[in-house]
Amino acid sequence: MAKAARGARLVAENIVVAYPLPTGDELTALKIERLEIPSGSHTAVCGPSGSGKTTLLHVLCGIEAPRSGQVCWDAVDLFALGEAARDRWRRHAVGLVFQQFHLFPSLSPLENVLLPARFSAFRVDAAVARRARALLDLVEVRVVGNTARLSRGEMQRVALARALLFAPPILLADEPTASLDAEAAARVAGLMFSACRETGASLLLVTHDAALAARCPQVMHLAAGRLSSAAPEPLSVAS
Amino acid sequence: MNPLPLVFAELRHNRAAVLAVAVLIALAVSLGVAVSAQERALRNSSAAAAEPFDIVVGMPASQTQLVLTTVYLQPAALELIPGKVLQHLQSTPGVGFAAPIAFGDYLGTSPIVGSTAALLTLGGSRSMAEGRPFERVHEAVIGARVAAKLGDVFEPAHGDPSAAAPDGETHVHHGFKYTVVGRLGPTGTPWDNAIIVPVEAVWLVHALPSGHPAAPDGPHAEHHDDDQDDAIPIGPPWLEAEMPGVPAIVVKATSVGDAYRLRAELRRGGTTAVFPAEILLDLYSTLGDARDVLAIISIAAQALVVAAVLLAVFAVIAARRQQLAVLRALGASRSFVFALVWCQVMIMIAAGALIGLGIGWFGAQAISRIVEVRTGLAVAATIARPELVMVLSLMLVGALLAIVPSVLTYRQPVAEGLRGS
Repeated sequence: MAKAARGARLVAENIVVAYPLPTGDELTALKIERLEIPSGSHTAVCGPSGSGKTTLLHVLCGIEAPRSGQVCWDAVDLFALGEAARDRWRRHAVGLVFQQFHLFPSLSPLENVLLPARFSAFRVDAAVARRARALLDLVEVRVVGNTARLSRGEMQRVALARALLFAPPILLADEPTASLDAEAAARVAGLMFSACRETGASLLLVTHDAALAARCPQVMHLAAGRLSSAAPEPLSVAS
Repeated sequence: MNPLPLVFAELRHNRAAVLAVAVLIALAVSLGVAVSAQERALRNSSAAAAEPFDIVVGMPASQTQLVLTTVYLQPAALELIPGKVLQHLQSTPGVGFAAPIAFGDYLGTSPIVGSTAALLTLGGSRSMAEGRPFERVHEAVIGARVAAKLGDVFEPAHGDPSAAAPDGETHVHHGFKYTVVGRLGPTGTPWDNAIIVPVEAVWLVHALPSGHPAAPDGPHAEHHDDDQDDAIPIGPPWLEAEMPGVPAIVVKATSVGDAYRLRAELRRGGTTAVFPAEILLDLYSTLGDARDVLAIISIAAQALVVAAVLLAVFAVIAARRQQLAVLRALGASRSFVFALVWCQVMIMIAAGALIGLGIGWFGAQAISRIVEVRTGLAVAATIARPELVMVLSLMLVGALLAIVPSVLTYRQPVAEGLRGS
């Protein structure tokens, strides 16, 4: 498989995401003073449901603009870009893996993997098509067939292949194993880590699976929208 | 960018719903196309049927009925014009030809029309498809669609076989035989189904004088002796004193000026004269109202269908918010998502409109066949500019309306859509 550029370095500073409440108050979903992820590192963000994990991921890949703060991947200040430029950046720089896979059942596995290529080019480059087939080979899913009939594990492997199409320097995974059985989860996780090691991509995964998080050298905890590098006290979790 | 693979995959994936929507649009469009194409075809072919007849002369009564009876051979009891009018017209300056039209008998469903050779050749401007014009009183010329051949001999029944005459005088045989001597080329009018005989024959069959000096035996004999009848001359000039009346006379004028002058002259002295084309215009304006109502109904149907389609599209988009947000998250531009939704809506509308054009064309053809079988009027319905304009405008309106749901997806925040809330 083609080697991509090495991973990208993330610096996020003074991020605030807040939503207005019907009562007139505000809900602060995320408040992060500083988050730095070195290039090529593997980082896990753990936290209970509603702690802001997904919001954090959306802010880091430019899907959701924070009320204030800055997100920089290498030299790119995400929210200084226009929306179209941000879309372009995300298409090539970020691989996204979702808990619910979000494949298109109307497309074959190969067309699902090739989908990001359709966003920019009218004709898919032969090299990109070859890479898509190679990725499906890697995750061991047949190129043709009915995507809707795949097992959940196979679906997530196709989704992983789609995320890796442009060999992005960043892979963002939102609970990538949460809707899989243990065996399928282990296989997906194995493929994800090895792909990132091979290309030198930075991996940021959001999970509440402690075992998965433990495979990352850097683990952070998110609670009520605030990050800490240490696990919260058991007592505070119980409360 | 290229949203087409996804567009087609999604349309294929939802083919049942897509087909239902396309058929709905197609039905609404086909109604409009068929009405428009058929109405124009009917107008053109009925006007063409009237073309050989510059002026139709009759007794003052319904002018519309006069035209329907002469141009389209619709049976009606018309008051008779005195024979001397016909005789006088033969020598009136400015008259190309003046031929009587006298009705009575039927052979099967073919009306037998009494006239003169001038009508067969339209005053020499039309040649026979087969054979020759009639030269004797027992000879007949058939229209293009009459199922008979040259040399056939037939004996007609009296009255319209499809509607019993009020006095019950149907199927009375007169013992009057005709021999087919010629055939006219197709005209696409009810005349194609007619059998044209010398007007003298119609008079004789009705026990009237022949308009010519009486034969020694007299034409009033109960049994016609064909050999003797052959001695009766046919065509003008007639003997005014021996001339029965005729229901109608068609007149071809030598110039437009003559036509107006002749019409004015023929409106004096107890007769009336009309330009069939003018009477048809009156008819069309009446028919036009009906056409307008149908056109409004069909446009309303199309508008309703497009509105229904857009509602369906809104529902589908609401259900697929998450899918569209995923596309954005994967790096699709807003214009890609816009194009994806717009293309899907547009393809459904365009497919429906084009299928509707086809169904409309078939529908117009089917109506043409019915009209032709019922009236003998060849109605060639074609798809022309008005129908194409109608279908293109629908597609244009659809294209513009399809922007609405596309814009809504365009403005939808990605993060919200991704959460699937």
